[in-house]
Amino acid sequence: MITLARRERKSRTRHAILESAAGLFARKGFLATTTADVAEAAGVSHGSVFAHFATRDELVERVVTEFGGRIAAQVKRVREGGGVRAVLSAHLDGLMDHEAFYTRLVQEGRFLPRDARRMLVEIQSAISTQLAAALEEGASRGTIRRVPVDFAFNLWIGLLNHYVMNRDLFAPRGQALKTWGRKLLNRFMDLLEERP
Amino acid sequence: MTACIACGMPMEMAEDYALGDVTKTWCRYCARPDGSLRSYEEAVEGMSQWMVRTQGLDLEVARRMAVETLDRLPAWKDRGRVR
Repeated sequence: MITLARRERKSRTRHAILESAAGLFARKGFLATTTADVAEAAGVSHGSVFAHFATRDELVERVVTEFGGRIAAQVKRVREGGGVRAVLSAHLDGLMDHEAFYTRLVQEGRFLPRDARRMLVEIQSAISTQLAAALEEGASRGTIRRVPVDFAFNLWIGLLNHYVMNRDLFAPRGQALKTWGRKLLNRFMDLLEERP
Repeated sequence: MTACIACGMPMEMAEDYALGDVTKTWCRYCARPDGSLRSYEEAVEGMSQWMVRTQGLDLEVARRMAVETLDRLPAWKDRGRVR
């Protein structure tokens, strides 16, 4: 009983640390957030952070993994036959839920710890794999133009990133993806779809 | 949900597994035509080429990422590193 209660408490503390870290990374950025900030926000001692994560880098990697894993799972739920629009729409929905965090990832991606950076590429791989399957299926059915997968994927990512990085220009009073996401998706699909 | 021991891909449907056999621990992408698990070298090459094709990464960067990813997975983590 005691063991179970202790395990639950441990799990709750770990969750609180991860949630607080994600919130701070979104608000202040990865580079500007210290483990002491995370401990304070989570209401735990500084040592407790390191009881759950051996290093600061491990904490960053874990937060990035949780964020990306949720989006990748959302995109993977679009089963075969869902089409390019459904894959990109699921991707967009996942990003819109956490735009501030995503913006920091884009801005500071190159300065992330090596494992977190690699994790980001793994997550992008999960999304580009779904997109590749949908593009191939659409092209074989004649509904989607045949374009190189890397070009389509990077064009889509580049478009979204441009809007979130320059939110002050595109949506000064709101979120860039909530304001522009659907329009961008429709216009992107206009480029890809074959017209009869 | 289980994940492929050799590339980490989540496997939910029977079609995700090698030869559609849910008793296998690796996915259809990590299987040779006869269903056996491909080698580590084949896995590194396959994953890096896929990253180049779908994300346009530099081949050398893709190989490094593939090695770092694969070396953590159950199928490969206890093997001696191949460079």
